[in-house]
Amino acid sequence: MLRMEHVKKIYRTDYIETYALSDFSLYVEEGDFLAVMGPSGAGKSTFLNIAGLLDGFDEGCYYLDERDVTGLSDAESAAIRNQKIGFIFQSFNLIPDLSVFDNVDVPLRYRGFNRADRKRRIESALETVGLAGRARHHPSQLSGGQQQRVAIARAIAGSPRLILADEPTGNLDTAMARAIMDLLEKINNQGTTIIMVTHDHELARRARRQIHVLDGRMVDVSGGNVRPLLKPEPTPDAPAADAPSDNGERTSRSA
Amino acid sequence: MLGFYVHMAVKSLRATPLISLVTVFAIGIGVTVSTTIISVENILTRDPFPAKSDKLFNVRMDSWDPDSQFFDVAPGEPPKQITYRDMVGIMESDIPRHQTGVGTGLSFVFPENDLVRPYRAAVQLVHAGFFPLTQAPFRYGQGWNQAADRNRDPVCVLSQEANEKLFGGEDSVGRQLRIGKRNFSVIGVLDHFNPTPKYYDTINDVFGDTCEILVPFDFIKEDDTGLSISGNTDNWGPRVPRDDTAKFLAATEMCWIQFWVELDSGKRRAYHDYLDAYAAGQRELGRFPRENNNRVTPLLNWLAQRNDSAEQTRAMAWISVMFLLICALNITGLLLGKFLSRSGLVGVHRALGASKRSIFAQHLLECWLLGIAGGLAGLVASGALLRFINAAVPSSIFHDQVFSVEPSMFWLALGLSLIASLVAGVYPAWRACQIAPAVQLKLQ
Ligand SMILES: Nc1ncnc2c1ncn2[C@@H]1O[C@H](COP(=O)(O)OP(=O)(O)O)[C@@H](O)[C@H]1O
Ligand SMILES: [Mg+2]
Repeated sequence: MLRMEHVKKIYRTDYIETYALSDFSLYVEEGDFLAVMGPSGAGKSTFLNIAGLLDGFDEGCYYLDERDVTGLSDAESAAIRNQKIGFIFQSFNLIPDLSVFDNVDVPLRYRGFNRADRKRRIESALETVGLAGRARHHPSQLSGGQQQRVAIARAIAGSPRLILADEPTGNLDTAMARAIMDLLEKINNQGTTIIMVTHDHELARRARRQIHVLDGRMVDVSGGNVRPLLKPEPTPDAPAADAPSDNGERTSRSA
Repeated sequence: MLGFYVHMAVKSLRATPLISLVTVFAIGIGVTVSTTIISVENILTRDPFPAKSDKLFNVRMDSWDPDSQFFDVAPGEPPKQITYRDMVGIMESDIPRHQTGVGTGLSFVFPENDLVRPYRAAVQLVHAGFFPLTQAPFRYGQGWNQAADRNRDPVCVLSQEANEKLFGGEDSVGRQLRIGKRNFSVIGVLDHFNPTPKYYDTINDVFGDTCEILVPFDFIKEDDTGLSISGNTDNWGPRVPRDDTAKFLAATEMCWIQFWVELDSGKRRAYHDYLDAYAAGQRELGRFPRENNNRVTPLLNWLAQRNDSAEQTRAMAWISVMFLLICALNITGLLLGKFLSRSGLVGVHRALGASKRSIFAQHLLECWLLGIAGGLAGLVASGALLRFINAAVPSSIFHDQVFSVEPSMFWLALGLSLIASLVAGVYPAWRACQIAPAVQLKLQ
């Protein structure tokens, strides 16, 4: 589903270079539910942005659905985001001018579905998140938990293969957070791959797999069953002997 | 997709009502000023005789002094009027379908009716061809024919206004009118005939009324009519005594006559050649000291050359369009501020699958909607302003023109406002589409 190898991302401001990701590698299988943890500033959001084709990277390679997505045109990556990826953000990011119905409609419009198709999908998505009765409401008339459920409906309405969620429960209280997690589990059980950044260990444990990010690198992988982070096909610049551990974590050669 | 964009743009405009209002207002003012001035310009420069403007030609011949450039024309142009001698000479040609000199004489008019006191009047000197050439409409009677020109028949044509004044508006054909010491009999009375601009005489009061009285041209040579050459005249060459007008006209180089021909299509070249041949003949007689420089100028071109006020309004029209663009540029900052302050939304749209191009289109569309609203508001305001000008400005300033917003102004206003909103919106829309989605989503 998703494969990143030695991805490096540098933010350059006038005088400072920040290594947001340094040598980041990851393999995610179809249907997985990955919890990404790590301290603030570790590079989690950077990873999600790159995974979601919202941002580029400086080195390494990235395959999405076996397709090399480096160097795509703006329109191509917009189309991939639209068709394959659903985003959920910590601050919901609903469009305040538009009703719940219209918010869920936005990605479907960009997709070019016809009116009947869109209506069916919107209603079904709102049904899934339990907000069928709120279609005409505006975001400001909803609680935080409800807003996040609208955002989830918007993310799943186009039946994406991958959902990227950046601290989706960060702005919610525990009860609401659990409800959101229930929803994400349900979606994952229907086959959608989910990558979720979270600080909440309880929620993270409910994912199928957890990874930790520190200083732009993967440092530890835990989870129900051990899976290789990298597919076992060595790349020329990553001879197997270099790998210090069997879980595929890589340390920088200069370390 | 367009419906969706419009939907979102309207929502976005309503989310920032003040900015929307200010933008509509600014574009509206710009459009008001430009459409108003362009309306005025349109009316001042409109084709006064659409049925024939492509067939009527003003004729000029360069008989001027070799040592000085003629003034009041562009460099290299011949004098703007011709001499009496040359008028008589070129009227020998049978190429034009109709032809007429147009001159102005001044004399005293003695009405038949004792109740109207004698008064000084400008008398239009024309040839028989004037009437078919201008298609001046007659209420009573008709114009005179070429025989009357040759025989100097004492006939005259009155304008409707003169007939009103002199004969109470009755059918005055056959009645008498004294000009100087000569009696003229009325042969025709015009209906209201007041082409604006007065194309056949653009040199003497181009926006004025038709002369009250028209008489056969050659009566200028009969001194007992009291007619003296009036209007704009330019002279050079040897001084000729003026006491006998007929002798004066036969000898002078004074340019004072506008000459018009109606040519069938395809005859212009031949007529021009005729003029050149005529000038060459005169050169052999010692006149026309310069190279051939004769002009057969289509009516509309001639008007464009002579019509100063039209030129001024045209300049003002351009200035007003600049003003509109400056209004638009001033809004740029406002729109830029709005778009950048809502950059988080751009990030969301990008994440949901909008390409840069789509973001650009959405924002430009938003500007266009504002522009259209401003354009329509400006059109309405312009109509009100023109009505105000009609009511409040002394009619003499605009030569009795009635201004109104013509239908074509709708498209002009729409076009101008679209251009203005483009000018105002392209940069902000471009900046909006350059917003990096990742940065924006993190900052939320
Ligand atoms: N647009 C940016 N410009 C400069 N530095 C950035 C930018 N975005 C992130 N960073 C830096 O990159 C590092 C990783 O950031 P981020 O991925 O947001 O971390 P996390 O989401 O794990 O808290 C941090 O040091 C952060 O300051
Ligand atoms: Mg983050």
